[in-house]
Amino acid sequence: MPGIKIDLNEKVAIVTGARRGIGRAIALAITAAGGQVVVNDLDLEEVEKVAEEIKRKGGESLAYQADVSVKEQVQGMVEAAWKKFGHIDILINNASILRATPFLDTTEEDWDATLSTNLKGTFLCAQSVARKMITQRRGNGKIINVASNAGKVPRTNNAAYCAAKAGVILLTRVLALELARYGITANALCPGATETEMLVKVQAKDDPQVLEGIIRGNLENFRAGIPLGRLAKPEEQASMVVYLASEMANHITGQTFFVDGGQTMV
Amino acid sequence: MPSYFDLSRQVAIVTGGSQGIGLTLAKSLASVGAQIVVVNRRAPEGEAAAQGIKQEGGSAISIPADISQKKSVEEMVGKTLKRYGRIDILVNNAGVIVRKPAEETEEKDWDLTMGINLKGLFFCCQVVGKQMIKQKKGKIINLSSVAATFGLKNRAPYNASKAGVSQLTKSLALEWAKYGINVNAIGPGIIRTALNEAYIDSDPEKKRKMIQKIPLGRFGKPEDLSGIVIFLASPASDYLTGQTIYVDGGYSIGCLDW
Repeated sequence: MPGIKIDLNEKVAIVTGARRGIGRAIALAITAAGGQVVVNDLDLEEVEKVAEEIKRKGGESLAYQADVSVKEQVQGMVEAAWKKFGHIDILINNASILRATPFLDTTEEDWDATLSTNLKGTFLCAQSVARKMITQRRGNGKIINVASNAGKVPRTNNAAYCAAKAGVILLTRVLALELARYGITANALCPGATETEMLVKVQAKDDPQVLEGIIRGNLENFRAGIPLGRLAKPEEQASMVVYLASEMANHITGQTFFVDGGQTMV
Repeated sequence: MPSYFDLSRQVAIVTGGSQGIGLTLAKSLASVGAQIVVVNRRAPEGEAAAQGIKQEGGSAISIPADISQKKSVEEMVGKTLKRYGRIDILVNNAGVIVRKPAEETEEKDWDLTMGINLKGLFFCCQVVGKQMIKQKKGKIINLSSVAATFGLKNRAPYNASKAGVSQLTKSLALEWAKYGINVNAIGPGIIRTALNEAYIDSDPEKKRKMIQKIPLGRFGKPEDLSGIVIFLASPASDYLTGQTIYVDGGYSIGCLDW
Protein backbone atom coordinates (compact mmCIF):
# COMPACT_ATOMS: atom_id res chain seq x y z
CA MET A 1 0.00 0.00 0.00
CA PRO A 2 1.15 3.54 -0.69
CA GLY A 3 3.52 3.99 2.26
CA ILE A 4 1.30 3.37 5.26
CA LYS A 5 2.03 1.18 8.25
CA ILE A 6 -0.87 -1.18 8.91
CA ASP A 7 0.46 -2.70 12.16
CA LEU A 8 1.47 -1.29 15.57
CA ASN A 9 5.07 -2.48 15.66
CA GLU A 10 7.28 -0.23 17.84
CA LYS A 11 4.22 1.53 19.27
CA VAL A 12 3.62 1.83 23.02
CA ALA A 13 0.08 2.13 24.33
CA ILE A 14 -1.59 2.76 27.67
CA VAL A 15 -5.00 1.14 28.08
CA THR A 16 -6.97 2.16 31.17
CA GLY A 17 -9.56 -0.14 32.70
CA ALA A 18 -7.99 -3.15 31.01
CA ARG A 19 -8.90 -6.00 33.32
CA ARG A 20 -11.99 -7.16 31.44
CA GLY A 21 -14.46 -6.46 28.67
CA ILE A 22 -13.62 -3.95 25.97
CA GLY A 23 -10.41 -2.73 27.69
CA ARG A 24 -9.00 -6.23 27.89
CA ALA A 25 -9.88 -6.93 24.25
CA ILE A 26 -8.18 -3.66 23.21
CA ALA A 27 -4.99 -4.53 25.12
CA LEU A 28 -4.88 -8.00 23.54
CA ALA A 29 -5.55 -6.61 20.05
CA ILE A 30 -2.83 -3.94 20.35
CA THR A 31 -0.23 -6.51 21.39
CA ALA A 32 -1.41 -8.92 18.68
CA ALA A 33 -0.81 -6.10 16.17
CA GLY A 34 2.78 -5.71 17.42
CA GLY A 35 2.44 -2.98 20.05
CA GLN A 36 3.57 -2.93 23.68
CA VAL A 37 1.02 -1.99 26.28
CA VAL A 38 0.56 -0.71 29.81
CA VAL A 39 -2.54 -2.41 31.15
CA ASN A 40 -4.04 -0.24 33.85
CA ASP A 41 -6.80 -0.99 36.29
CA LEU A 42 -7.94 -0.35 39.85
CA ASP A 43 -7.75 -4.10 40.42
CA LEU A 44 -4.09 -5.10 40.12
CA GLU A 45 -4.60 -8.82 40.65
CA GLU A 46 -7.12 -9.06 37.79
CA VAL A 47 -5.16 -6.89 35.37
CA GLU A 48 -2.01 -8.94 36.05
CA LYS A 49 -3.91 -11.91 34.61
CA VAL A 50 -4.33 -9.93 31.40
CA ALA A 51 -0.60 -9.14 31.42
CA GLU A 52 0.13 -12.87 31.82
CA GLU A 53 -2.18 -13.70 28.93
CA ILE A 54 -0.37 -11.15 26.74
CA LYS A 55 2.97 -12.70 27.74
CA ARG A 56 1.75 -16.22 26.92
CA LYS A 57 0.84 -14.97 23.46
CA GLY A 58 4.31 -13.51 22.95
CA GLY A 59 3.53 -9.85 23.70
CA GLU A 60 5.01 -7.40 26.17
CA SER A 61 3.11 -5.43 28.76
CA LEU A 62 3.25 -3.75 32.16
CA ALA A 63 0.39 -4.11 34.62
CA TYR A 64 -0.12 -0.90 36.59
CA GLN A 65 -2.61 -0.12 39.32
CA ALA A 66 -3.97 3.43 39.32
CA ASP A 67 -7.23 5.27 39.87
CA VAL A 68 -7.59 7.39 36.73
CA SER A 69 -9.55 10.03 38.66
CA VAL A 70 -6.57 10.81 40.94
CA LYS A 71 -3.97 13.04 39.32
CA GLU A 72 -0.94 11.77 41.28
CA GLN A 73 -1.78 8.18 40.40
CA VAL A 74 -2.18 9.04 36.73
CA GLN A 75 1.19 10.79 36.70
CA GLY A 76 2.75 7.78 38.42
CA MET A 77 1.35 5.53 35.69
CA VAL A 78 2.60 7.74 32.87
CA GLU A 79 6.10 7.95 34.44
CA ALA A 80 6.18 4.17 34.89
CA ALA A 81 5.22 3.67 31.24
CA TRP A 82 7.86 6.16 30.14
CA LYS A 83 10.53 4.49 32.29
CA LYS A 84 9.71 0.99 31.05
CA PHE A 85 9.24 1.68 27.33
CA GLY A 86 10.92 5.06 26.66
CA HIS A 87 7.98 6.57 24.79
CA ILE A 88 4.17 6.60 24.65
CA ASP A 89 2.42 6.64 21.26
CA ILE A 90 -1.14 5.66 22.05
CA LEU A 91 -3.52 6.35 24.92
CA ILE A 92 -6.80 4.46 25.20
CA ASN A 93 -9.03 6.07 27.84
CA ASN A 94 -11.29 3.13 28.47
CA ALA A 95 -11.78 3.03 32.27
CA SER A 96 -15.41 3.64 33.01
CA ILE A 97 -18.16 2.74 35.45
CA LEU A 98 -21.90 2.29 34.96
CA ARG A 99 -24.53 2.40 37.67
CA ALA A 100 -27.98 1.69 36.30
CA THR A 101 -30.38 3.74 38.41
CA PRO A 102 -33.47 5.78 37.57
CA PHE A 103 -32.75 9.52 37.46
CA LEU A 104 -34.89 10.23 40.53
CA ASP A 105 -33.00 7.64 42.60
CA THR A 106 -29.50 8.66 41.50
CA THR A 107 -27.49 9.78 44.51
CA GLU A 108 -24.86 12.49 44.67
CA GLU A 109 -22.32 9.74 45.28
CA ASP A 110 -23.46 7.92 42.09
CA TRP A 111 -23.06 11.14 40.12
CA ASP A 112 -19.63 12.00 41.55
CA ALA A 113 -18.24 8.49 41.10
CA THR A 114 -19.46 8.27 37.50
CA LEU A 115 -18.24 11.71 36.45
CA SER A 116 -14.89 11.23 38.23
CA THR A 117 -13.93 8.01 36.51
CA ASN A 118 -15.62 8.49 33.15
CA LEU A 119 -14.92 12.18 32.48
CA LYS A 120 -12.29 13.55 34.86
CA GLY A 121 -10.23 10.38 34.43
CA THR A 122 -10.24 10.87 30.65
CA PHE A 123 -9.15 14.51 31.11
CA LEU A 124 -6.32 13.68 33.52
CA CYS A 125 -4.91 10.80 31.47
CA ALA A 126 -5.15 12.75 28.20
CA GLN A 127 -3.39 15.80 29.66
CA SER A 128 -0.62 13.83 31.31
CA VAL A 129 0.04 11.63 28.27
CA ALA A 130 -0.26 14.50 25.76
CA ARG A 131 2.47 16.40 27.63
CA LYS A 132 4.75 13.37 27.27
CA MET A 133 3.84 12.96 23.60
CA ILE A 134 4.74 16.60 22.96
CA THR A 135 8.08 16.26 24.77
CA GLN A 136 9.12 13.09 22.97
CA ARG A 137 8.54 14.62 19.50
CA ARG A 138 7.81 11.30 17.80
CA GLY A 139 4.75 12.68 16.01
CA ASN A 140 1.60 10.68 15.24
CA GLY A 141 0.42 10.52 18.87
CA LYS A 142 -3.00 8.92 19.15
CA ILE A 143 -5.57 9.47 21.86
CA ILE A 144 -8.66 7.32 21.67
CA ASN A 145 -11.40 7.91 24.20
CA VAL A 146 -13.96 5.21 24.76
CA ALA A 147 -17.28 7.03 25.05
CA SER A 148 -20.58 5.30 24.25
CA ASN A 149 -23.52 5.69 21.93
CA ALA A 150 -25.23 6.75 25.17
CA GLY A 151 -23.17 9.92 24.84
CA LYS A 152 -25.23 10.85 21.79
CA VAL A 153 -28.62 9.20 22.23
CA PRO A 154 -30.27 9.14 25.66
CA ARG A 155 -31.04 5.99 27.62
CA THR A 156 -33.25 5.67 30.63
CA ASN A 157 -31.65 4.83 33.99
CA ASN A 158 -28.19 6.01 32.87
CA ALA A 159 -28.33 9.78 33.55
CA ALA A 160 -24.84 10.27 34.99
CA TYR A 161 -23.31 7.84 32.51
CA CYS A 162 -24.94 9.57 29.51
CA ALA A 163 -23.84 13.02 30.71
CA ALA A 164 -20.27 11.84 31.30
CA LYS A 165 -20.03 10.13 27.91
CA ALA A 166 -21.43 13.19 26.10
CA GLY A 167 -18.70 15.13 27.89
CA VAL A 168 -16.09 12.66 26.66
CA ILE A 169 -17.24 13.17 23.05
CA LEU A 170 -16.95 16.96 23.17
CA LEU A 171 -13.72 16.84 25.18
CA THR A 172 -12.32 14.65 22.41
CA ARG A 173 -13.11 17.31 19.82
CA VAL A 174 -11.45 20.03 21.88
CA LEU A 175 -8.35 17.86 22.34
CA ALA A 176 -8.29 17.28 18.59
CA LEU A 177 -8.34 21.02 17.93
CA GLU A 178 -5.74 21.97 20.54
CA LEU A 179 -3.34 19.06 19.99
CA ALA A 180 -3.43 18.99 16.17
CA ARG A 181 -0.40 21.31 15.99
CA TYR A 182 1.67 18.66 17.78
CA GLY A 183 0.66 15.92 15.38
CA ILE A 184 -1.56 14.31 18.01
CA THR A 185 -5.00 13.11 16.94
CA ALA A 186 -7.92 12.49 19.28
CA ASN A 187 -10.96 10.41 18.41
CA ALA A 188 -13.84 8.86 20.31
CA LEU A 189 -15.13 5.31 20.07
CA CYS A 190 -18.82 4.89 20.84
CA PRO A 191 -19.56 1.24 21.46
CA GLY A 192 -23.15 0.11 21.42
CA ALA A 193 -24.34 -2.86 23.43
CA THR A 194 -21.34 -5.17 23.73
CA GLU A 195 -21.00 -8.62 25.32
CA THR A 196 -19.30 -7.51 28.50
CA GLU A 197 -19.82 -8.02 32.20
CA MET A 198 -20.84 -4.35 32.46
CA LEU A 199 -23.70 -4.85 30.04
CA VAL A 200 -24.78 -8.34 31.01
CA LYS A 201 -24.58 -7.97 34.79
CA VAL A 202 -25.27 -4.28 35.37
CA GLN A 203 -27.49 -3.18 32.53
CA ALA A 204 -29.36 -6.38 31.78
CA LYS A 205 -29.16 -7.72 35.36
CA ASP A 206 -28.24 -11.16 33.95
CA ASP A 207 -31.75 -11.44 32.50
CA PRO A 208 -31.83 -13.00 28.97
CA GLN A 209 -35.18 -11.31 28.28
CA VAL A 210 -33.73 -7.88 28.97
CA LEU A 211 -30.75 -8.69 26.72
CA GLU A 212 -33.14 -9.71 23.97
CA GLY A 213 -35.01 -6.46 24.58
CA ILE A 214 -31.81 -4.50 24.09
CA ILE A 215 -31.29 -6.15 20.72
CA ARG A 216 -34.87 -5.97 19.46
CA GLY A 217 -35.64 -2.56 20.91
CA ASN A 218 -37.00 -2.07 24.37
CA LEU A 219 -38.40 1.24 25.51
CA GLU A 220 -37.82 0.31 29.13
CA ASN A 221 -34.06 0.23 28.70
CA PHE A 222 -33.08 1.50 25.26
CA ARG A 223 -34.80 3.61 22.66
CA ALA A 224 -33.82 1.64 19.59
CA GLY A 225 -33.13 -1.92 18.57
CA ILE A 226 -29.92 -3.03 16.88
CA PRO A 227 -30.25 -3.37 13.07
CA LEU A 228 -27.50 -6.02 12.91
CA GLY A 229 -29.58 -8.00 15.40
CA ARG A 230 -26.88 -8.96 17.88
CA LEU A 231 -24.55 -7.58 20.53
CA ALA A 232 -21.00 -6.62 19.59
CA LYS A 233 -18.12 -8.81 20.63
CA PRO A 234 -15.44 -6.88 22.58
CA GLU A 235 -13.02 -7.81 19.76
CA GLU A 236 -15.19 -5.82 17.32
CA GLN A 237 -14.60 -2.70 19.42
CA ALA A 238 -10.89 -3.51 19.63
CA SER A 239 -10.46 -3.78 15.85
CA MET A 240 -11.76 -0.21 15.46
CA VAL A 241 -9.27 0.95 18.08
CA VAL A 242 -6.36 -0.81 16.36
CA TYR A 243 -7.32 0.94 13.13
CA LEU A 244 -7.56 4.36 14.82
CA ALA A 245 -4.28 3.79 16.69
CA SER A 246 -2.44 2.89 13.50
CA GLU A 247 -0.88 5.16 10.93
CA MET A 248 -3.79 4.20 8.65
CA ALA A 249 -5.82 6.83 10.52
CA ASN A 250 -3.30 9.69 10.52
CA HIS A 251 -5.67 12.18 8.85
CA ILE A 252 -8.65 11.41 11.08
CA THR A 253 -9.15 13.60 14.14
CA GLY A 254 -11.97 14.89 16.33
CA GLN A 255 -14.32 12.19 15.08
CA THR A 256 -16.78 9.94 16.86
CA PHE A 257 -17.07 6.33 15.77
CA PHE A 258 -20.26 4.43 16.48
CA VAL A 259 -19.53 0.70 16.54
CA ASP A 260 -23.04 -0.27 17.50
CA GLY A 261 -24.53 -2.43 14.79
CA GLY A 262 -26.37 0.54 13.31
CA GLN A 263 -28.21 1.50 16.52
CA THR A 264 -27.20 5.16 16.30
CA MET A 265 -27.13 6.46 12.75
CA VAL A 266 -26.63 10.15 13.44
CA MET B 1 -0.65 -7.33 9.71
CA PRO B 2 -3.62 -8.17 11.95
CA SER B 3 -5.55 -10.88 10.10
CA TYR B 4 -8.82 -8.95 10.28
CA PHE B 5 -7.45 -6.45 7.76
CA ASP B 6 -6.74 -9.23 5.24
CA LEU B 7 -8.83 -9.18 2.03
CA SER B 8 -7.21 -12.07 0.19
CA ARG B 9 -9.28 -13.29 -2.80
CA GLN B 10 -12.14 -10.86 -2.04
CA VAL B 11 -13.72 -9.32 -5.12
CA ALA B 12 -13.99 -5.52 -5.02
CA ILE B 13 -15.68 -3.22 -7.52
CA VAL B 14 -14.32 0.34 -7.46
CA THR B 15 -16.29 2.84 -9.54
CA GLY B 16 -14.36 5.80 -10.88
CA GLY B 17 -11.31 3.66 -10.17
CA SER B 18 -9.10 4.78 -13.02
CA GLN B 19 -7.70 7.97 -11.48
CA GLY B 20 -7.40 10.21 -8.43
CA ILE B 21 -8.87 8.99 -5.16
CA GLY B 22 -10.56 5.99 -6.82
CA LEU B 23 -7.30 4.59 -8.15
CA THR B 24 -5.63 5.01 -4.76
CA LEU B 25 -8.56 3.21 -3.08
CA ALA B 26 -8.28 0.39 -5.63
CA LYS B 27 -4.52 0.06 -5.05
CA SER B 28 -5.04 0.09 -1.29
CA LEU B 29 -7.54 -2.77 -1.41
CA ALA B 30 -5.29 -4.66 -3.84
CA SER B 31 -2.34 -4.26 -1.46
CA VAL B 32 -4.15 -6.39 1.15
CA GLY B 33 -5.17 -9.05 -1.36
CA ALA B 34 -8.44 -7.94 -2.97
CA GLN B 35 -9.13 -8.63 -6.65
CA ILE B 36 -10.14 -5.31 -8.16
CA VAL B 37 -12.70 -4.53 -10.85
CA VAL B 38 -11.92 -1.01 -12.09
CA VAL B 39 -15.11 0.62 -13.39
CA ASN B 40 -15.00 3.85 -15.37
CA ARG B 41 -16.42 5.28 -18.55
CA ARG B 42 -13.38 5.23 -20.85
CA ALA B 43 -11.94 1.75 -21.54
CA PRO B 44 -8.30 2.75 -22.27
CA GLU B 45 -7.97 4.60 -18.95
CA GLY B 46 -9.60 1.76 -17.02
CA GLU B 47 -7.26 -0.73 -18.71
CA ALA B 48 -4.22 1.43 -17.85
CA ALA B 49 -5.31 1.61 -14.20
CA ALA B 50 -5.75 -2.18 -14.04
CA GLN B 51 -2.29 -2.63 -15.56
CA GLY B 52 -0.85 -0.22 -12.97
CA ILE B 53 -2.36 -2.22 -10.11
CA LYS B 54 -0.98 -5.45 -11.58
CA GLN B 55 2.48 -3.91 -11.93
CA GLU B 56 2.42 -3.25 -8.18
CA GLY B 57 1.69 -6.93 -7.57
CA GLY B 58 -2.09 -6.71 -7.27
CA SER B 59 -4.93 -8.35 -9.18
CA ALA B 60 -7.22 -6.19 -11.34
CA ILE B 61 -9.42 -6.11 -14.42
CA SER B 62 -11.18 -3.23 -16.13
CA ILE B 63 -14.90 -3.24 -16.96
CA PRO B 64 -16.08 0.03 -18.54
CA ALA B 65 -19.56 1.33 -17.68
CA ASP B 66 -21.57 4.52 -17.45
CA ILE B 67 -22.99 4.17 -13.96
CA SER B 68 -25.60 6.88 -14.53
CA GLN B 69 -27.42 4.33 -16.76
CA LYS B 70 -28.94 1.42 -14.84
CA LYS B 71 -28.62 -0.87 -17.86
CA SER B 72 -24.89 -0.20 -18.03
CA VAL B 73 -24.57 -0.99 -14.30
CA GLU B 74 -26.40 -4.29 -14.80
CA GLU B 75 -24.07 -5.25 -17.66
CA MET B 76 -21.01 -4.37 -15.59
CA VAL B 77 -22.21 -6.42 -12.62
CA GLY B 78 -23.13 -9.31 -14.95
CA LYS B 79 -19.62 -9.34 -16.40
CA THR B 80 -18.09 -9.21 -12.91
CA LEU B 81 -20.17 -12.18 -11.75
CA LYS B 82 -19.37 -14.14 -14.90
CA ARG B 83 -15.68 -13.65 -14.19
CA TYR B 84 -15.58 -14.06 -10.39
CA GLY B 85 -18.97 -15.51 -9.33
CA ARG B 86 -19.25 -13.17 -6.35
CA ILE B 87 -18.83 -9.57 -5.18
CA ASP B 88 -17.58 -8.95 -1.66
CA ILE B 89 -16.88 -5.22 -1.71
CA LEU B 90 -18.41 -2.30 -3.60
CA VAL B 91 -16.67 1.08 -3.44
CA ASN B 92 -18.94 3.76 -4.90
CA ASN B 93 -16.36 6.39 -5.67
CA ALA B 94 -17.40 7.76 -9.07
CA GLY B 95 -18.45 11.38 -8.74
CA VAL B 96 -18.41 14.73 -10.47
CA ILE B 97 -18.31 18.30 -9.25
CA VAL B 98 -19.43 21.42 -11.11
CA ARG B 99 -18.09 24.58 -9.49
CA LYS B 100 -20.45 27.50 -10.10
CA PRO B 101 -22.38 29.99 -8.00
CA ALA B 102 -25.87 28.65 -7.32
CA GLU B 103 -27.54 31.35 -9.39
CA GLU B 104 -25.50 30.34 -12.45
CA THR B 105 -25.97 26.58 -12.09
CA GLU B 106 -27.75 25.15 -15.11
CA GLU B 107 -30.20 22.28 -15.34
CA LYS B 108 -27.59 20.15 -17.09
CA ASP B 109 -25.11 20.76 -14.22
CA TRP B 110 -27.72 19.57 -11.74
CA ASP B 111 -28.68 16.52 -13.81
CA LEU B 112 -25.07 15.52 -14.44
CA THR B 113 -24.16 15.76 -10.75
CA MET B 114 -27.24 13.93 -9.50
CA GLY B 115 -27.08 11.36 -12.30
CA ILE B 116 -23.62 10.15 -11.32
CA ASN B 117 -23.24 11.06 -7.63
CA LEU B 118 -26.63 9.93 -6.43
CA LYS B 119 -28.64 7.97 -9.03
CA GLY B 120 -25.58 6.11 -10.26
CA LEU B 121 -24.52 5.29 -6.72
CA PHE B 122 -28.01 4.08 -5.79
CA PHE B 123 -28.30 1.68 -8.72
CA CYS B 124 -24.77 0.35 -8.20
CA CYS B 125 -25.84 -0.40 -4.61
CA GLN B 126 -29.12 -1.95 -5.73
CA VAL B 127 -27.71 -4.21 -8.46
CA VAL B 128 -24.68 -5.31 -6.42
CA GLY B 129 -26.85 -5.46 -3.27
CA LYS B 130 -29.07 -8.13 -4.87
CA GLN B 131 -25.99 -10.33 -5.24
CA MET B 132 -24.79 -9.56 -1.70
CA ILE B 133 -28.24 -10.48 -0.34
CA LYS B 134 -27.82 -13.90 -2.00
CA GLN B 135 -24.36 -14.21 -0.46
CA LYS B 136 -25.67 -13.05 2.96
CA LYS B 137 -22.52 -10.94 3.19
CA GLY B 138 -21.08 -7.80 1.72
CA LYS B 139 -19.39 -4.47 2.33
CA ILE B 140 -20.60 -1.32 0.59
CA ILE B 141 -18.49 1.81 0.92
CA ASN B 142 -19.87 5.07 -0.45
CA LEU B 143 -17.80 8.20 -1.02
CA SER B 144 -19.57 11.07 0.66
CA SER B 145 -17.84 14.32 1.66
CA VAL B 146 -17.59 16.90 4.43
CA ALA B 147 -19.90 18.78 2.05
CA ALA B 148 -22.67 16.40 3.18
CA THR B 149 -23.07 18.35 6.42
CA PHE B 150 -20.99 21.52 5.99
CA GLY B 151 -21.83 24.20 3.49
CA LEU B 152 -19.09 24.65 0.89
CA LYS B 153 -19.60 27.54 -1.51
CA ASN B 154 -20.13 27.31 -5.28
CA ARG B 155 -21.11 23.66 -5.56
CA ALA B 156 -24.75 23.46 -4.50
CA PRO B 157 -25.70 20.33 -6.49
CA TYR B 158 -22.57 18.52 -5.29
CA ASN B 159 -23.35 19.32 -1.63
CA ALA B 160 -26.94 18.15 -2.06
CA SER B 161 -25.82 14.95 -3.76
CA LYS B 162 -23.34 14.14 -0.97
CA ALA B 163 -25.94 14.77 1.75
CA GLY B 164 -28.05 12.32 -0.23
CA VAL B 165 -25.20 9.80 -0.22
CA SER B 166 -24.88 9.92 3.58
CA GLN B 167 -28.63 9.53 4.05
CA LEU B 168 -28.83 6.73 1.48
CA THR B 169 -26.01 5.01 3.36
CA LYS B 170 -28.16 4.95 6.51
CA SER B 171 -31.26 3.74 4.64
CA LEU B 172 -29.45 0.84 2.98
CA ALA B 173 -27.63 -0.03 6.22
CA LEU B 174 -30.99 -0.35 7.99
CA GLU B 175 -32.67 -2.37 5.26
CA TRP B 176 -29.78 -4.73 4.58
CA ALA B 177 -28.44 -5.28 8.11
CA LYS B 178 -30.48 -8.49 8.23
CA TYR B 179 -28.51 -9.85 5.27
CA GLY B 180 -25.12 -9.22 6.89
CA ILE B 181 -24.36 -6.32 4.56
CA ASN B 182 -22.51 -3.37 6.08
CA VAL B 183 -23.09 -0.02 4.37
CA ASN B 184 -20.86 2.89 5.38
CA ALA B 185 -19.57 6.10 3.86
CA ILE B 186 -16.25 7.88 3.83
CA GLY B 187 -16.41 11.68 4.11
CA PRO B 188 -13.15 13.07 2.79
CA GLY B 189 -12.22 16.65 3.58
CA ILE B 190 -10.24 18.64 1.06
CA ILE B 191 -8.07 16.09 -0.72
CA ARG B 192 -5.52 17.54 -3.14
CA THR B 193 -5.40 15.41 -6.31
CA ALA B 194 -4.27 15.84 -9.89
CA LEU B 195 -7.91 16.67 -10.67
CA ASN B 196 -8.19 19.70 -8.38
CA GLU B 197 -4.65 20.94 -7.71
CA ALA B 198 -4.87 23.61 -10.41
CA TYR B 199 -8.06 24.92 -8.79
CA ILE B 200 -6.57 24.82 -5.27
CA ASP B 201 -3.32 26.47 -6.33
CA SER B 202 -4.99 29.16 -8.47
CA ASP B 203 -5.46 31.60 -5.58
CA PRO B 204 -2.71 31.54 -2.89
CA GLU B 205 -4.73 33.66 -0.44
CA LYS B 206 -7.73 31.34 -0.75
CA LYS B 207 -5.45 28.33 -0.36
CA ARG B 208 -4.01 29.76 2.88
CA LYS B 209 -7.51 30.33 4.25
CA MET B 210 -8.54 26.80 3.33
CA ILE B 211 -5.58 25.31 5.19
CA GLN B 212 -6.37 27.48 8.23
CA LYS B 213 -9.67 25.64 8.56
CA ILE B 214 -7.94 22.25 8.78
CA PRO B 215 -6.66 21.57 12.33
CA LEU B 216 -3.96 19.15 11.11
CA GLY B 217 -2.68 22.03 8.97
CA ARG B 218 -2.53 20.40 5.54
CA PHE B 219 -4.69 19.21 2.68
CA GLY B 220 -5.41 15.51 2.52
CA LYS B 221 -3.61 13.18 0.11
CA PRO B 222 -5.48 10.34 -1.62
CA GLU B 223 -3.30 7.99 0.47
CA ASP B 224 -4.94 9.41 3.60
CA LEU B 225 -8.02 7.39 2.57
CA SER B 226 -6.13 4.10 2.12
CA GLY B 227 -6.53 2.99 5.72
CA ILE B 228 -10.22 3.74 6.04
CA VAL B 229 -11.21 1.88 2.88
CA ILE B 230 -9.29 -1.20 4.05
CA PHE B 231 -10.90 -0.93 7.48
CA LEU B 232 -14.42 -0.58 6.10
CA ALA B 233 -13.92 -3.43 3.60
CA SER B 234 -12.45 -5.82 6.15
CA PRO B 235 -13.83 -8.00 8.96
CA ALA B 236 -12.39 -5.41 11.40
CA SER B 237 -15.51 -3.30 10.81
CA ASP B 238 -18.16 -6.06 10.97
CA TYR B 239 -20.16 -4.27 13.71
CA LEU B 240 -20.04 -0.82 12.07
CA THR B 241 -22.89 0.15 9.78
CA GLY B 242 -24.75 3.25 8.58
CA GLN B 243 -21.90 5.58 9.47
CA THR B 244 -20.12 8.35 7.59
CA ILE B 245 -16.47 8.46 8.59
CA TYR B 246 -14.85 11.85 8.08
CA VAL B 247 -11.21 11.74 7.02
CA ASP B 248 -10.55 15.45 6.91
CA GLY B 249 -7.69 16.50 9.16
CA GLY B 250 -10.29 17.65 11.67
CA TYR B 251 -12.18 20.03 9.34
CA SER B 252 -15.55 18.73 10.53
CA ILE B 253 -14.82 19.15 14.25
CA GLY B 254 -16.24 22.63 13.90
CA CYS B 255 -14.89 25.41 16.10
CA LEU B 256 -16.44 28.60 17.36
CA ASP B 257 -13.88 31.34 16.77
CA TRP B 258 -12.75 33.10 19.92
